[in-house]
Amino acid sequence: MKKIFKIFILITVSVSSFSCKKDILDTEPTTILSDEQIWKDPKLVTSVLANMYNRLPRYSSNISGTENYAIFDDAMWSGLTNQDLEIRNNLPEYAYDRWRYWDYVLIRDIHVALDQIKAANSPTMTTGVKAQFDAEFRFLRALVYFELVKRMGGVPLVTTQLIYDFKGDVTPLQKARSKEEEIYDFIASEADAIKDVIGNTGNARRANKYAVLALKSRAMLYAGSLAKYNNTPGFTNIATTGREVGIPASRAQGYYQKSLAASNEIISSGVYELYKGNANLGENFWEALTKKSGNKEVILVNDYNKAQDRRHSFTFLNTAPSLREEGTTSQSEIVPSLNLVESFEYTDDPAGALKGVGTGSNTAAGQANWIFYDKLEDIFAKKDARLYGTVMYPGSSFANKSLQILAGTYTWNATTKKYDRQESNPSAGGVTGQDGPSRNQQNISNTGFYIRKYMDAAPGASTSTNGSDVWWVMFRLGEIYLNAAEAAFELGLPEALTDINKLRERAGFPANSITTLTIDRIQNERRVELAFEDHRLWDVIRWRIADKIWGGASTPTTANVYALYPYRIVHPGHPNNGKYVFDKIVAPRFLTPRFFRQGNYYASISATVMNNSGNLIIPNPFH
Amino acid sequence: MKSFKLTRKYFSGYNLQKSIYFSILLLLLCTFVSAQQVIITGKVVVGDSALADVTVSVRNSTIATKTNETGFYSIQVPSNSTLVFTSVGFVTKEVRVGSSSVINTELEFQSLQLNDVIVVGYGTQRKGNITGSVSSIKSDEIMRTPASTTSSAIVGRVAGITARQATGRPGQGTSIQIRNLGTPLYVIDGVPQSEGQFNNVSSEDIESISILKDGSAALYGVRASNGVVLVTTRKGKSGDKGKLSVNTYYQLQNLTRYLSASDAYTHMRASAEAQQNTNTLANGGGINGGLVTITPAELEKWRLGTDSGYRSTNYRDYILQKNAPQKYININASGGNDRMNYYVSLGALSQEGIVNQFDFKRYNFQTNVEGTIIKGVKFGAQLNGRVEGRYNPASTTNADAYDNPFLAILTTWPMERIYANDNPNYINGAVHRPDRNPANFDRNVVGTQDNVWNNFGSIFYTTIELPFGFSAKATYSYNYKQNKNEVFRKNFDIYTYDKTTGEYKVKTTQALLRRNKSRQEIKENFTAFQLNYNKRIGKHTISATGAYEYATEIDEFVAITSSPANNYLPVIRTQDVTAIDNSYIETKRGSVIGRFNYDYRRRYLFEVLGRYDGNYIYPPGKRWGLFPGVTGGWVLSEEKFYGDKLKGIMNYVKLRASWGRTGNVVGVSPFDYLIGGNFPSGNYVMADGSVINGVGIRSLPITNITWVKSTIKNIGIQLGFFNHKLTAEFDAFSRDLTGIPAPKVDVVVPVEVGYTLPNENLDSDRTLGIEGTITYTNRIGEVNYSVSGNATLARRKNLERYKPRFGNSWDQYRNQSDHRWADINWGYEVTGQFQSVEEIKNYTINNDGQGNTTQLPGDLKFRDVNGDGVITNLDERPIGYGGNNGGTFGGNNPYMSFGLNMSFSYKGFGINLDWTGATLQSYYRIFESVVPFQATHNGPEYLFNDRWHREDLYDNNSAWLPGKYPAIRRINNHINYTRRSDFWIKNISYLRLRNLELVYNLPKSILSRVHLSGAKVYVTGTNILTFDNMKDIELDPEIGQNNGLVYPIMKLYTFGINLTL
Repeated sequence: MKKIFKIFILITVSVSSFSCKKDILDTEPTTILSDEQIWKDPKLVTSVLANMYNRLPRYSSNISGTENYAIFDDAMWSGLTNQDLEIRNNLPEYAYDRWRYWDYVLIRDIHVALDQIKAANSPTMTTGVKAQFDAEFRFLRALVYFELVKRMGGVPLVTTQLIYDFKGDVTPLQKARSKEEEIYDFIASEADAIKDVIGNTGNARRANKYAVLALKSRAMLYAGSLAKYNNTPGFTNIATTGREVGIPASRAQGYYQKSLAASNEIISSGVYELYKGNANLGENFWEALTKKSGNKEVILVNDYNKAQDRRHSFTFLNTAPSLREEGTTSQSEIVPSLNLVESFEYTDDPAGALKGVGTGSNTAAGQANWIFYDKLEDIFAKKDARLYGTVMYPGSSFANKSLQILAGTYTWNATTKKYDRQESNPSAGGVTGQDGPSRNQQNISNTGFYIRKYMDAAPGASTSTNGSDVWWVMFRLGEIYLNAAEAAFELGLPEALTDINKLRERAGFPANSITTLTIDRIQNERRVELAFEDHRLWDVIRWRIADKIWGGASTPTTANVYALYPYRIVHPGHPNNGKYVFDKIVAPRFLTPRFFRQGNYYASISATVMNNSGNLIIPNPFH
Repeated sequence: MKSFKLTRKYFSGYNLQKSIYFSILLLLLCTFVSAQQVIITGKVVVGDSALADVTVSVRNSTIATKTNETGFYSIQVPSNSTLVFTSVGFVTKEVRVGSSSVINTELEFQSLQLNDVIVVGYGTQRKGNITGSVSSIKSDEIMRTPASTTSSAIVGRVAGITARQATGRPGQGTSIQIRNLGTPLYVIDGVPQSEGQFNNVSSEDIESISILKDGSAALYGVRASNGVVLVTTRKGKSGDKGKLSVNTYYQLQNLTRYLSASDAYTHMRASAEAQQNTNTLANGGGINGGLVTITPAELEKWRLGTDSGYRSTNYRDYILQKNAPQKYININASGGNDRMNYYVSLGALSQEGIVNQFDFKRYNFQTNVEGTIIKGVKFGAQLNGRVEGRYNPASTTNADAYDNPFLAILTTWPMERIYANDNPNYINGAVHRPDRNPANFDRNVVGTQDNVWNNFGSIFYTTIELPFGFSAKATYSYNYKQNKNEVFRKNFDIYTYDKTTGEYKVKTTQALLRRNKSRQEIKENFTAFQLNYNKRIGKHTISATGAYEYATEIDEFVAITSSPANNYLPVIRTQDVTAIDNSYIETKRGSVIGRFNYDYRRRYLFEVLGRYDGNYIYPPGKRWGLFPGVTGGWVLSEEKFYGDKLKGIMNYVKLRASWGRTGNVVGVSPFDYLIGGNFPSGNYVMADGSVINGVGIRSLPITNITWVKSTIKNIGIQLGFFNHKLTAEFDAFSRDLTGIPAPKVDVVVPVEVGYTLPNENLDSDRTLGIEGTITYTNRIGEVNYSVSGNATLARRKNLERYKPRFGNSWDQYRNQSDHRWADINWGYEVTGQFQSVEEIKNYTINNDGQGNTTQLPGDLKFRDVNGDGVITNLDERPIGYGGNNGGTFGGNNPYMSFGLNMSFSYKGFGINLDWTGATLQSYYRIFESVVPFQATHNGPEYLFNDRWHREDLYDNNSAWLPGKYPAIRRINNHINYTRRSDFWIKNISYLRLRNLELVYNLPKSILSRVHLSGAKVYVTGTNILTFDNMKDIELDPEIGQNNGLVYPIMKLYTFGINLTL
């Protein structure tokens, strides 16, 4: 029996010696850094910044919210058909919460960072380093407030951490909305306070002085035009009594002046210049947004880097079938509209409408206007070079591959004295080109165009594994020229013409191509220069014209998405044989005209936000 | 055999001649018998009735006889020997021959198995003493279903198990739950294990499975709220001389059901009808009819299908093979003496999918050895290993590789060909979805995707007998599991054929080239000490158990993805790497466990149990909790007042009740209690060429949350009738979950603070149910039979919700969840289908929200419940039970499940039938199974044939002909389909013959000639017969996915041999 006890004790001792520990259930996290570790180390503080830059909102961009390109008039959805009907091409109206944004989590995190930096105490966190970090976090906060105010109107202006004491009383935390203008004023004063502290000189990937000025230039322009156009006769003034939305007209001039001053400070600094690296003006414009080396036009970008596994799938998702490197898995989701194509002027004609197009009705009358072009691309000859840089149209090529855009053929019918239309399934071969346009096939253009801006020509970019690292340009000099031109125009200053013509010269227009400036001209210039750069929606909102161009059935020419269907003529023995004609039709998959309501000028505030504020936060008009 | 027949007849005095022969024989026999012989006579009874045909033999000799019809026997035996009474269905009894020459004895029925030893938590118990709700399944029952996974083998065996085999994928288990409570905790040989580990124990190696369904699970603490499944592997028995056993089977797998895709003609006709039924505002709504561009001549060519270019492709036949084989072999040896016992087993299973090249292979070994060092001290080791591999072609899309073939059956168009010019060397590229062309689903074309588990498990233990009724056990277990996933996807070309030149041209290269290697390593350590006490003092039996356990687990993961430089070699180089991923997770648990049992004359039974359980996931100070349980039983039939008369009918009555508390880890993640920053959290390029991983600032720490408390109450009754020929067991139970995490909605901080207040343990729900088993065992002549039925009904009900608030009374009606049954599914009620154009025009209810302009005859009419003249979501009503897994419609096992197990044996022949069934469960159909041309795909035959359509395809004024389904259109989001309605819901009920097994045990006379101790041949049909209401939509009643496009459950035929040496 003694032996048994000995063995028992032996085993107990030997096994328990493996498991002797203070708290046997303690484990160490492998994905969490403590506050002590983070805030004493500038490298990790930079990592906090990296996290926040990455969280900045983009409503429609090449890296997120891409589908929002397809819900206005510059483009439509040609991707999977099941998305088509419900949300993209059959939108009866824009939901009031469509561009809602209320990211106070990011604002809280910025405030945590600001407080931690203030308290930081370590040899590497010197006063200078701390001041610079402080400025950069405040830039991010200003940018977030700009995103908030442009979508929501005046929001609660929170500038410190709001800490709940878990005692049941939340009233000290509840805040009402500030005035719309107060948010814009906050952005301006923050910009002034940080621009000379922020550093990052020469780095376009983090905010520096000029990124701060660019934000101010844009924000002040928005504030100025809101003050002006919300109070234009003929427009139902959108305002609340507490001016949570609605900036008085009297403030317009001051905002325009601030914007112009900020723009001019950037332009006159000489740090930036318009990209002119390629003699081919169309290619040059595409490179202005995609080329990274030697690009002195960009002020702030969200960069990508495949070698370090930061990549996106914009090219994979928007490639024409004939350009695809990954067979049939890649897609063609966003395709530009004919509306956008026609808004590009001819260099010799300020009107942009394409010449000699048919109605597509398959009748003699519908074919009466046809011009018989020798080559597909002839119809675009002498167009603003920015069209080439933005859109792939019939007859163009990309990365040394020609696109196969052809809707079918028109064959002469001697008995009916008209041409008969033939189309086929683009993927199965036949008279229709591989790239369509197709009336109903998914992932083949429905409009006859493909997007070029942001498309990546690098090998493998259109595959799902490699992806693309084309960056997203947040601010560039091109926009600053347009901001300056618009502000100067609104202030009645002559320099407006110089600024706008400088951009047009780059696009192949002769010097001084505009001699008299109108707001319409400025609006069109912004549309073509800044297409797909997340400006269109916010521009038409601040000019208060969104409800006029997207008026549903009442504005068919601007609220519908149009397509251009090219055909080859089959008429043996006739001079027109083998020539090309074009039909302009409403895009077949496009079912409901765009309809922008008064209530869409500001997004709705969620019921939760209002409830949780103890109803201090009031809704926007019409909601 | 022959002599025994004679014996019977002799005693019955029926055949005089044979009696005489027998007398001579007996006399002759006597003369050979040596001295010291005694003749023993007696009567064998069960209760009051005599028992015939009982074998009476002498231990360790060949002397044997049988009882006659009145239960009498007579046998001459050496003095001081032991008589052994055996009979099928009865407990074997041994009686030592003493001074008396008359030995009358009573046998006990085996059916209730009161003396069977059942594995319960931290020990074993005699079945008669069990007071909790515990079911047990024996190895022979598990072996009866030749399934590749353990979960599939136990379905329908005992009350309380609900199951759904949502997919029949090779190597995939069945989703089982105990009483619909959720996924249970699995414990194998005393060590908690994963569900995958449970499913892949070789069925041969399982001795028994016990299922703890009530408060008795409290011994397993914080993870046991959904019940516990205990598995015990086989051990050698001392006194077993040693035997070698081989079991092998060959199985043929076939489809039960799968949707039939339409052929080319049906597809084209439907396409033409869709044109005719076009709904555009331009033609004033669909009722006017659209223009059909597909010509009658063309349609006719498709119908004939003789012209080249007009042949229909049957993808289903191409993709699915018939009689896919599964093979299994297991060899095991076992034996033992009083110092040592062993069980060694080696098994292999190989399963081919019904889709070519989708294979499952598994190799298992199990070695259980136990030896006595000195008297009272035993050491043992249980070692097991497993290689479990799933080998597939890679996926041509980014979807799951298994799904592609099944999706392809309906995605492809029957008008298209699989190969260009039907030449199998050239995959056809001129198809609308080349990624779903089944020619791609080939390891040689698209590459491979192989997943292999390499597992090694070990348990080392020692047991020590101590004085005063104490015994102790120490256990250490180490498991190493490695999961290896390797994807090597290739580029390949697809072609077009040029008829004029006869050339094959590359249409495109499907550039799928990609290599992904991942490894997951799981290391589990488990240590336990256990001290037992067992003492019988007169009529009182006391036993107690105390234990301490500590377990850690480390889970490491590394994955590398690359875009390799070539299509051929598997090497990965740094330059090709596109992504790396890795993680490291450590978990720890500790427990102190105690149990005390008391029984008085096996009449009053009482048990207290508890576990003090600690889990690393909670913040320090909130990690440990006590989980107690109490169970009690009263064997009423043992009482003196329980009269003999009553006992003659109902011989056994036991009442039992239990209460137990366990825990459930819900709504909490590790380290929720820490602040600081998450790394990595996003990344950003902060300078040219410098991607920085982000640090995300964490939200408020969560320190106030703890486990959900689960309280299980159970009352049960166990009955035996007619000397246990008929037994019955019924249970009623409830499980309350309290403290389900939810937000405190009355203290809401403004959204602008940038964080939300942590959830607190606030809400509660209750699962209620009943279950029962009735078993009848008897024999008629030489036919032994047993019929056993079981059923379970269990459903969850939400109880408290923290201060729910509703905007209006409709909101409350629709969205209130507290004090209501859970998993109510809402939708529209369909009142019928439009019968004519006239009816649509005159219809006063706005059915489609667009003035009925989108309606055609055959479209669904929805009930306008609130009578406002327009159908909106306000008209939704509860229309279904919990739905199928993997869909948008819940994911529940059926509320009611039942099983019926029947076995008959006659001499060496046996027939076993196992029925399983379920009801109170919904299947909501969506996508391909209801929508014509879903996402431009093909449609099922029934949808394109049994539909509303115009009599003449080319005459828009022709009459409408009725069908079951709405008229065909190419509108995927038509309200017919998008509105969830009872038209598309099936409330499933089914009864399935899960197994039909025919067994033949070869007679001993043949076996002895070939030196075998046992040989069995068997044929089993699995899932060969099903009565259900899903036939019309060609889907299996257990299917999970809403569109039905998954690997269906299989119909199996198995041929097996089991030899024992």
